[in-house]
Amino acid sequence: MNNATILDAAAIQRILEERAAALARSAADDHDPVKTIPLVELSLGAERFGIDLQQVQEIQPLKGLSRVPGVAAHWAGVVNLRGRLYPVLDLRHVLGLAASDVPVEGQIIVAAAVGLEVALWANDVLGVRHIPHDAIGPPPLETGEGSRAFISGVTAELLSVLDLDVILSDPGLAAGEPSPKSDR
Amino acid sequence: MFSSLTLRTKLIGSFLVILGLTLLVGVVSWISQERAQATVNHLVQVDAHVTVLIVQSRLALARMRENERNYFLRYHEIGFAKARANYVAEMQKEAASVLDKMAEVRKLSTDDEVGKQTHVIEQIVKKFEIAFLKIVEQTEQRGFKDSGLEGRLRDAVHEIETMVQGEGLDALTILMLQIRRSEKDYMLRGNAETNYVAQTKKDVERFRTAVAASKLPPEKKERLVKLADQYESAFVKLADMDATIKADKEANDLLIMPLEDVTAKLRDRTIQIQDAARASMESASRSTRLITLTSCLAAVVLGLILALSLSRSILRSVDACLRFAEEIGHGDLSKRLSPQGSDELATLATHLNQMAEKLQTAAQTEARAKESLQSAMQACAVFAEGVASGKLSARVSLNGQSEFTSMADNLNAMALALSEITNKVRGESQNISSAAAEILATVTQHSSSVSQQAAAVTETTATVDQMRAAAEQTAKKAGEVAQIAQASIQVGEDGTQAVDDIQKAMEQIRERVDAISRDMLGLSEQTQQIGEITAAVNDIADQSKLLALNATIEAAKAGEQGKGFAVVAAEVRNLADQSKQATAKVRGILSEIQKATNAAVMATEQGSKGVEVGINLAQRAGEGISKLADTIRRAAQSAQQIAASTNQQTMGMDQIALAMKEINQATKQFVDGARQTQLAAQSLTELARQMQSLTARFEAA
Repeated sequence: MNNATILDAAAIQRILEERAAALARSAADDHDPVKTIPLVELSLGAERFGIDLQQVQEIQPLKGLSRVPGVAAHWAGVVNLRGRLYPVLDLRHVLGLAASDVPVEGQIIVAAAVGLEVALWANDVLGVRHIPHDAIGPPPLETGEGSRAFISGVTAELLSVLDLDVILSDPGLAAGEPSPKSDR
Repeated sequence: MFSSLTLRTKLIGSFLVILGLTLLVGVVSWISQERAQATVNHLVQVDAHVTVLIVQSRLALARMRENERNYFLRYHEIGFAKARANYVAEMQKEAASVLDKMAEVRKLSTDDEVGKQTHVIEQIVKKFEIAFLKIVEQTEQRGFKDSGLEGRLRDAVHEIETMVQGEGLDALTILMLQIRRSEKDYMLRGNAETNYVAQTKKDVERFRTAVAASKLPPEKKERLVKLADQYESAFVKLADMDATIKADKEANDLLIMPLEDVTAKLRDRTIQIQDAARASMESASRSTRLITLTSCLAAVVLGLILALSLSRSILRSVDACLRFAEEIGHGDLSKRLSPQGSDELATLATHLNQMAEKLQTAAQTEARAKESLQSAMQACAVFAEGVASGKLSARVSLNGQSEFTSMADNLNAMALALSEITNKVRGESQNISSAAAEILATVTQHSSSVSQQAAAVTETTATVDQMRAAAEQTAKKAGEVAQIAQASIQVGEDGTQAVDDIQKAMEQIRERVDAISRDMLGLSEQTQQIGEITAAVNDIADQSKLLALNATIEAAKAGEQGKGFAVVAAEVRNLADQSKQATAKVRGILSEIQKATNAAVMATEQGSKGVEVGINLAQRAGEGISKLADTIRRAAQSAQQIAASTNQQTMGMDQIALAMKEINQATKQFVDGARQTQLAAQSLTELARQMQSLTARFEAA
């Protein structure tokens, strides 16, 4: 209890050093913007994924999710953001991850691709990362055929980079239809 | 003659003689003193005063002369009138004072020589005064400068001068000047060395002839001649006057000259008189001293002679009386004193002789009485010897000595009575002997029975002592029990007190525990509130994080321009993360606190239950202890009662033991009495036997 409330001099020093290191690192990252790709990192269950930052518009907490009857399972519902309705896409269904429940908390990432604007549900948005081009490798072989097409690459830290253009242009995504890849 | 007087007369007479002598000495001294006093008075009042007067007269004479001289010296300067007023009056005053003093001296002094001298002085002074006044008159007539003869002389010569000079007659003028020179010479030097008067006369004569020979008008010639005549006559008169004054002055000086001698003589004379008076006074005082000394010595010598003779006469008689009294004291009564004279000591000697006489006769009477007493005692002794040896038939016989006859009769009667008693005793002693034998037998019997009783009593006493010891033991034990019971009461009370204290302490504990549980509830509520606040903070942190993310995204989209903003957004993100972590930690701690608080609440509830149980237990313990204390108190009371009754028992035993001791004592005394009675009976028998043998010795009359 004491350790939590009262920080000793060494702890304060340590925190300050960490912050300084973080700042230095981000500055170093920004030093060469050409060779890096900015990604928004998010988590779904135990997995972590990245989305191209240029396609992300904003991030909001999940509030007031209204379920829409009669739609495919990967559409969790709609949300109202500042008077505009966005469909909420549950990527777990799209990517074939275990999803027994309907999301009730977490965040939504408002993203735009191929002329569509959707809200992507995530357990948590971890932040923005600048990943070098050469640090992204090909998708792992053991992933499913369908979902593999949605992942453009994997980093050394096992961060899967999602290709939103592919996901949103997928014909199975259309409302009223079941997810073509996840209806197994 | 002296010894025939009484002692008192002698003493009073001697003292009177000495007193008379003392008085005489005193009177002589008194008279001498008076005389000396008179002489001194005379010396002081008359002789000394005369001397003073004479000295004053001498001074007055000196002042008189001084005034005279002053007049002649100073009339040139201050004029005749002033000089007369100043000095002549003064001189006359002094002269009068001298005359007064002389008259006084004559009045005081009785000496003829002095009287004569004062007369001489008076005459001289009077003459001198008259002469001086005359000289003064002459001097004034002679005048000075413009007055008197000199004035006239000057007038004449001045007229001549004016006349001569006006005509321019040189020869006359020269002559005139010659005349004047002679005149001045006279004025300056007097007529002593050169006869300036004759010279002047000659010059005037020549002038007259010159005038006659001159060619002056006849009236002028006549006038000049007349003036020359006037001048000549005035000059001659002046010269004559000068001569007269000089002569008078000298005469006056001569007159006054002896006055000095006379006054000196007078002074010497008075001093002489004074010395004579002093000498006579001294001789008078010397004679007084001599008289006083002589009379003192006479008084001392006479007093000594009287004292010695008086003491010798008294001492002689007193010594004789003393020796006589001493001899009487030693027992020598044969001596007698021989009184001399008729004073008190002679009377004393006569009385002493009478006393010795009486003492001698008394001694002789006593010796005779002693002899008769001795013979009577002899007869009595013979009788007593006979009675003592048992011869009761002996009798005393005294031949006609009445004082002892009755005694002899009584002795004879006594012898008779003794023989009767002896006979009676002889009979009774037989009876005593038989009675004593009976007593002895009875007492012996009694004695044995008493001895048996004594043994029984001793046994009883021993038993009582044992009983008493047992009772004492019992009393002691009972006392101990009572003490222990008392201590137990104390313990019981202490226990009750302790239980009360425990109950109070338990109450306090319960109150404390209640307070703790209340505090715990408050703490729990506060913890709840903290949890709510923490949740709110967590929410805010979440929102912040999202805002930071959005900002980061916007910044990244902005490219190069958004770089700085990205940094800020990252920082905000970090802060949000940290807030979340902190809230998570707070939440964890809060849950721990809540757990602990719940446990504490439970514990306090259990504690208060335990306290209830404890209070109940303590109450029960208190009741038990107070019951126990009651029981102990009753036990203590019983023990005390036991101790008291046992003490009473012991006292009873003591009394029994004391009574037994007294019985034993009485029995012992009884045995002793019986033994003594036995012994007495035996000795009584013995005594009866002895009495019989004794009475057998006496041969009854």
